[in-house]
Amino acid sequence: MKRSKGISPPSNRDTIESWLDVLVSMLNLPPSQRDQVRDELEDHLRSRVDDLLIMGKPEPEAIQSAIHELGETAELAKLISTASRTRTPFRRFAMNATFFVLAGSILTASVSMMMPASTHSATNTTITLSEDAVPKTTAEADPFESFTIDVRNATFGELFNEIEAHTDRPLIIHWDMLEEFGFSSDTPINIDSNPINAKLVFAILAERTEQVFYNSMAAYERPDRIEIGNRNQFDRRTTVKRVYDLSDFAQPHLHDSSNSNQSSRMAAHTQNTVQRVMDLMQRHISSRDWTSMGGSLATSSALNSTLVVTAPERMHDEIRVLLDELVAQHQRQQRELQTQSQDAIDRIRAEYEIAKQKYLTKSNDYGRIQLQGQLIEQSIVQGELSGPDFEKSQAQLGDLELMLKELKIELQEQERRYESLQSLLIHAESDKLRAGLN
Amino acid sequence: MLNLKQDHSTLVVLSVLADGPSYGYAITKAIAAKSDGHFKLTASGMYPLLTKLEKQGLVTTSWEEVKAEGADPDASGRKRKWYTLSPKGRKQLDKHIEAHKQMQHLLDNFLSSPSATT
Repeated sequence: MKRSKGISPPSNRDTIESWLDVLVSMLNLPPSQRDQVRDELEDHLRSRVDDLLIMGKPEPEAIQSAIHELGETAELAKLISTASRTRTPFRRFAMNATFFVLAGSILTASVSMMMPASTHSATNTTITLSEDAVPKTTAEADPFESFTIDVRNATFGELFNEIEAHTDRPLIIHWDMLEEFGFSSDTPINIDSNPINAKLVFAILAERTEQVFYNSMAAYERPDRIEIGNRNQFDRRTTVKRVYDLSDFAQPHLHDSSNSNQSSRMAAHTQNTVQRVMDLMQRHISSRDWTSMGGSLATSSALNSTLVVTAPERMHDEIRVLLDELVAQHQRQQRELQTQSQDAIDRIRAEYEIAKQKYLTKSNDYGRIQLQGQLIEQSIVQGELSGPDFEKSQAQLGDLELMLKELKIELQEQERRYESLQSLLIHAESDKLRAGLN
Repeated sequence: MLNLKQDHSTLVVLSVLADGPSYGYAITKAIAAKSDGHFKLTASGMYPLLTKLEKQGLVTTSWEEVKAEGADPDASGRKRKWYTLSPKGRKQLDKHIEAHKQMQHLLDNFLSSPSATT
């Protein structure tokens, strides 16, 4: 992308600057950062105004539009302030054991003292259906990379003190939960490495505990605090029952649900789809935690197109993302079907119009030749012709009769094609109507 | 017009920056152009996101002074913040793309089965 040239001089500064003054006054940021936000948004506004002026909008209107498009001032100021201040969102990194195991397995190559990756961790790394459908190896955990910790000879107590010093919320350490792993304040964390970032330290510890205890050290992030404990405890604390309505994509478009045969097909389809969603969910979202897969945390059951799931919040988050993706995919397919259906109807209609024209032309030809024959026949009958003219007319009549026979066959053929296309078109249109595609 | 959800915004913004350095307003235009106007990333979605990406090291930034044509050469222009995809951002984008492909493949398998469409 090339840097643009030809920007018009600033004008009507008062309106834009007044708006920027208001926005900046709402920013909860240090002065230097406020200035930067102001500069960036001013550039946005003036660039937009330039474009609107080029499109022919009067200047006052262009300025108003540009400001209006930026959205509600207080909301924008709040979002920018929050994004600028946020330092270490433990967020899903903290709650996502899959991430710990995944990140831990990545670390095995670089941290000499780590245990080899388990086969169990491999099953979790196949695909992670997460908030943004991306395995959470970097994006969510990146804030941890902003600081490193010298862990050589450090104890757990020292590790958590160090982490607390770098985070924006109080750290609550559940030593009772960590006891399960034999961790106490003065236990050496036993990672023989140069200073490494907090993300890696957590990943190593999570990997170790996961392999030995089938549970892992975990952090649970809340807006006002971060808790350190173990995953199973946090999971139990956040386990809730939620009901998911799958009717958006579980019910097919069948033409006549009043027909008992089609009703049962519809029910079977819904049941089948809901079952498939459950399978997909249980295979790809924390698979070992489902009771149906031998786990003890999550259960699911279905009634018609409703899915009831009892699971920890971290799993519900992933289920919602999965369902959103499925609905989006379903809608894409519906749109494609609609387009294909319309294309087919358009093609049939075009062929129908051609067949109709051909039929009418042949029909006219037939009538014309028939009339010509009748005239000749009339002349013969009335004795108006004699000698060579009579013979010539007889021959003409014979030719016309032959032509009429041929035309009749062609006409019948065109008529059949015309009628069949007409019928096809009526069916296609009524199918379209019934399927609610209009 | 679809407002981009935050989970897709990162992917979209990083892929715009994969084409070359850009700045806020130009990014919104690029998104609208690339999606034929179907996607819209609002200012309240984009600027916080760009800040987040910068903090995560996925993009680097620089400032440029832009002046109007024919403006007084001694007068100061307005400042423009440029965003460039960092190597880390490139890796992140590749991961997003790979995960997107995996998800697409998975969903295709699931939804293209005959019983899912009958």
